[in-house]
Amino acid sequence: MVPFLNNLSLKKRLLQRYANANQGFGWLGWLLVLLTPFVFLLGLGIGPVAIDAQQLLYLLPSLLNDALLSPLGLGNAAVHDPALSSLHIIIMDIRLPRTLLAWLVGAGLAISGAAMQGLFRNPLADPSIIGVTSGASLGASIAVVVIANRIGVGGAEQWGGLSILVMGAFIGGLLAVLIVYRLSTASSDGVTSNSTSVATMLLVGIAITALAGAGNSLLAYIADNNTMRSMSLWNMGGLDAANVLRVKLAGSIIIPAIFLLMCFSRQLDAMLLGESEAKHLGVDVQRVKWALIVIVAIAVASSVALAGVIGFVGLVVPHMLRMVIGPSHRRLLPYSALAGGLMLVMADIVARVIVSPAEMPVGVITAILGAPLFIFLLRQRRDYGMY
Amino acid sequence: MRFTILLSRRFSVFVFLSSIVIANDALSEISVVDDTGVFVVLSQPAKRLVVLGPNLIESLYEIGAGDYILGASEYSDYPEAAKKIPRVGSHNTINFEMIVSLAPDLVFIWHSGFGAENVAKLRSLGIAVYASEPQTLDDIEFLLNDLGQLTGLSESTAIAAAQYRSELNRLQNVYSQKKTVSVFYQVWHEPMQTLNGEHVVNAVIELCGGQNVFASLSEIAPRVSIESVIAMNPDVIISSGSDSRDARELDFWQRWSMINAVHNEQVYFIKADSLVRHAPRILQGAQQLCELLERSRSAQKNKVQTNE
Repeated sequence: MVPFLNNLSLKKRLLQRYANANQGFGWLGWLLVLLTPFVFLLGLGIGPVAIDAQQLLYLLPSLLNDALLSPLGLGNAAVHDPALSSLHIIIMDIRLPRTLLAWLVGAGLAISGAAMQGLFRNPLADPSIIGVTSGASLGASIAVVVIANRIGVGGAEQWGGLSILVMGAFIGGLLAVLIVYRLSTASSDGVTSNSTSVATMLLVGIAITALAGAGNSLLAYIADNNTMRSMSLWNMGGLDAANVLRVKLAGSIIIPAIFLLMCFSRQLDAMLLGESEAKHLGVDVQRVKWALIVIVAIAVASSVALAGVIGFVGLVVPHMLRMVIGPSHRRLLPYSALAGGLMLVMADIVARVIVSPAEMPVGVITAILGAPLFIFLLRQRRDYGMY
Repeated sequence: MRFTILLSRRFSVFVFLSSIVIANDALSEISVVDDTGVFVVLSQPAKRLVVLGPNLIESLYEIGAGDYILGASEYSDYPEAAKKIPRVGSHNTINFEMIVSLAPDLVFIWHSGFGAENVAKLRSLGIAVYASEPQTLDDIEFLLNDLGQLTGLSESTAIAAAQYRSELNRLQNVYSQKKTVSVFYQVWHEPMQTLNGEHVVNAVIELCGGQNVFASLSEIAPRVSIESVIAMNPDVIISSGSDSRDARELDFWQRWSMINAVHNEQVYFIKADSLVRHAPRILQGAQQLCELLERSRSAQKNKVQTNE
């Protein structure tokens, strides 16, 4: 893991690589872009109701018409064959929202992971490992209790209810990031040190996860039976609740967050060299840190509020990409978004196929992929435990 | 040599056991085997009871032992009088100190609901425990008999058990041979959950001549998606919940008119409490469910007639 060493010759190599990485979007990026529609078609084509490739291709024009033109008030292609029209409804109302939500959440989590690893200058920073997702889920649970009291249990499926949910998750997630960041960057003499302590960061993450777990259990005592069951969604994580409303809300939050994070690629690259070096390069380090913390909290919180706790995406995706393209954020950030989206869409396909017609929580799949990689990374760099 | 020692040991154990049996007879002790295969032996009928499990509370009231109950677990809300019993535990947490201080003759406990560790802990405190794990509809009758024996209320128990048996037989005779209708039983909407073939609700559905579309899944309360419900295409959707607020969830199904049940307007709400608890009241829930399935059969018939 080249980017996190402070050796001077490595810094030169880093700068050299940074210069190389600036030339164009890169083959891997184009590959990811090309794969996206293909994986989307898989997401639309695979499910408990069998749809063959021919039917899917036949339906595609009307699907595109409905998905792209109808919201703008243009075009109106009806499908006349009754068998095909029910397939059309299944795809439009179930699989498309689900696939889009999976992509958005995966992209948001992966780019958040990449940005946090840059911000903490620490390869193990992942929203789920350092407790941001648990903080957000506690916030969301509190919001559910509030919504249940004010609007009623079904209220979580209206704009107002969902917005309260996202706000609650955002406050919880933001508090978690702030606590982790403050504690893991402050050295024992109280002065903010130059790099983060991995051990402290992971321990604070454990503490926050435990605290949020306790908070959730406490709420389970306060809440009535129905509210409690609604809350259990955040602890399981699932995309089966996807609908058009959730996709719209996720899109209007996560897509701007992705573009905003991409704007910080130069500053993040500079900060890899060290904070004082970044200051000399003209980066307003303090401002950049705050902006990143807030944007990451927004992206993670909305994904938790709308799809539950889905772990390890923010760890696996940026790491695999760094192995191929190196540490430059100019490519790492957009690639992470693209690959994270693809990964979660595929994980969700597995989640709905593997025990069909039952559903497996998608968080189980990502944890099965992610946890071994996490252990592998810990083993590879024994000094992670030495700080 | 060894063999003879073994033999003699066995023989002495035999003598010892038979002397116990004889002594039991002499003192007219009560001995019942609980659902985990443990002998529950009492020197006299239990009159001070702690009951952990809402279905056990209901069953005890049914045989007239309600007044014996000194402590109950959370969610013991039926009959009305049960709500006033002091609480001594909820889910898997049990207030052992309180139970000991109540000095019960016997604790009735729902085994899988509270866990084997808690059963063992109660026994280690020197308290007699009957661990209950009814599975089928027939088991409820056996449960009533055991409760009656242990509390010494044999007469009222015999009446309650006979009533239960005859009602069960009646429903079986009326409904179980009718035309099979496929049923999706929805436990919860988000995440969407159903129950598999091992659950007692499945037994009730079969009693009513229905067939649970997700009976073959391996998990007892599996998560499913709307799409898998569409793929299974049930004739009836039964959405369960605890109060009328949950009934609003029925509107949710209206969008999916490709499902037979939605298309033929056979989506119903049912209160879960009377259907999921292993107590005689389950037959009230069963009656309700059977009537709903019957309604869907006549709806199908009408439809065929109008088509002709």
